[in-house]
Amino acid sequence: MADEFIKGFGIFSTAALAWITLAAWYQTPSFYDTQLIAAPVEPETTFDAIGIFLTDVFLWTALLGALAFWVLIPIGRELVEALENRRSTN
Amino acid sequence: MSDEETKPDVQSGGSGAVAPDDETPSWMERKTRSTGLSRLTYEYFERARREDQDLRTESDYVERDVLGFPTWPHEVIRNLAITMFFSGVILLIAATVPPHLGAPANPSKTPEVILPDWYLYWSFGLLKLNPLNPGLEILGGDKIISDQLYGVLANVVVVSAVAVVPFLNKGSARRPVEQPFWAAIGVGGFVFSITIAAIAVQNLIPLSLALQLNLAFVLPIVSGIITYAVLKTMREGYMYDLNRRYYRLRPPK
Amino acid sequence: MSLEKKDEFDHNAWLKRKDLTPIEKTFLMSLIYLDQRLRIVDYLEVLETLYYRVNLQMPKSHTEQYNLDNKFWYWYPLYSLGFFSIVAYIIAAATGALLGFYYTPSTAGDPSMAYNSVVAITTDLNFGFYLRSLHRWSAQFMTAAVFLHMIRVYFTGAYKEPRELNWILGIVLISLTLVFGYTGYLLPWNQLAFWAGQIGVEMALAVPIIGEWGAQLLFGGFTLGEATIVRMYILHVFVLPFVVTALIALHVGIVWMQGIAEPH
Repeated sequence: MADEFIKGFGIFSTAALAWITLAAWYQTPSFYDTQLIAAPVEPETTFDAIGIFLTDVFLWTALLGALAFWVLIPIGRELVEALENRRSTN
Repeated sequence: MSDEETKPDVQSGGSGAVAPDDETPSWMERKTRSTGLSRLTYEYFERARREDQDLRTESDYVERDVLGFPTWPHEVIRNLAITMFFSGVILLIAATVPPHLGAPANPSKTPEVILPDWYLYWSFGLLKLNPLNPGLEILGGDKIISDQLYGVLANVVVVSAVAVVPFLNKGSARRPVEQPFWAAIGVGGFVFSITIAAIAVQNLIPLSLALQLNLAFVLPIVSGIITYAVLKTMREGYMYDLNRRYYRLRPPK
Repeated sequence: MSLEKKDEFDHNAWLKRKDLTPIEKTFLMSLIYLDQRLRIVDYLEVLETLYYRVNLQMPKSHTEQYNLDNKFWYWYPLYSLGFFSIVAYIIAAATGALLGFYYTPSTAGDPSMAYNSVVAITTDLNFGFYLRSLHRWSAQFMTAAVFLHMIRVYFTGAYKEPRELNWILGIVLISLTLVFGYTGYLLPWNQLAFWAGQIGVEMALAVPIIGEWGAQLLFGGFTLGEATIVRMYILHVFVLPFVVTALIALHVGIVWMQGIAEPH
């Protein structure tokens, strides 16, 4: 379980770093406006298009990665364990 | 007593250097020779040494005889790994997300947004509690203290509440499951620091002020109660699962 | 008869007799050079003795300690926050010293010299934008780390006796960190800085009895101007660094003496 913690932590912090960078570039029109979650700008070059696409990819990687390793996998393990316990007691 | 026991250990141990203090008077001797405050000091030293020694003999905890981890080198070396990672994060994010420098100061033009940095939002939110500043009937609805002073006092109250924690909560319980009440207080305080920070940026949040003020005080209490309930429920199973030596070492009071 | 001494303490001859790699040779030569002048062997011996006295036994790692089958300590990252905030503080100090070479704490002119110097740092100076960015981000990380550090200490009960003193010291340090942030926030003298300063003056004035005196002392008057920015600058680069560094040393020293509280 604890190994899962560091996997989730690594995924979360790395992906969140990439996300906050790209979101600061493409989804922050100005300091006084919506920051980080505004609608993305129209891409002018291919790199912009890739960056805008990756913003969402990294955001969901961070959220789902943490969710998977911190919540879903531990719950799954607990369930498997509980089922086995029940089977062995019966 | 302790003198006799520690002598061979300290002097011959480790470096192999033998301290030239065969003539150095023992604490017992020094104690008998001295009077007044210095005598009291030696007496206390002796007691403290004996207490340590007794605790060590009583303890079945043979691996380590202090209830703390050495800072150097163990903790520092372990810390280095994760610290280096986040120092790298600082360098990277400083390169990619440059800071903002707005318009120059203009005393004659009040901007729409007046905000300190994010870490002062909680304090700024406490300054904005003036709707809760009570008006007194006796004074004809007048307020007994000004709104600004009220805000400053709120800050003082919060900081001193944090400061008195170690004087109220004593004992050997460490983990939140061992002390659900204090964990609930902590979670409530943490949630309060967020909700009160939300009041600081109240004009950016599409909720009415009255609702937000209510939320600011209700949410921490609710989360505190939930924490308490969850920890109480977890406690039994958790204590059972916990390593037994841990509890032999520090039975929860 | 030769005047050259040929005794057993001829270190050069000894070095020649031994078959050494270049690294070993350089090390030994510099050690001998320093020792002949500064007698460092004595000090090294004292240090060594102290080291062995302190580390009479190595403790078990946390996972061994509690027979955990885990290879990784679940809450570990939260235990490194104190160290991390010191590292962030050092980064901020280094970049801050460099920024201080180019910054002018003055409100003269329109826009003010302070604002202009920040603009010059970010646009004209080589790596200036990165320098300012690094200073600001390390300050943000330090503040965040200090807050999280406090939360970690609270939830693991690490503040309990005999560590109350360090908890109080920590509260003083976190407050000083916030003052550090606040004074630094005012220095660019932009709109945000000016109006944040305005709030500060109003807060100081609201305090009874000592309020006006405090506002005079910290802000140099009841309206913001030249005196304010100079005071903020002196606080930020002279007073606070000394005080905070000394208190951090004390804070860490106490942790060092008492050991890390029983880990989670």
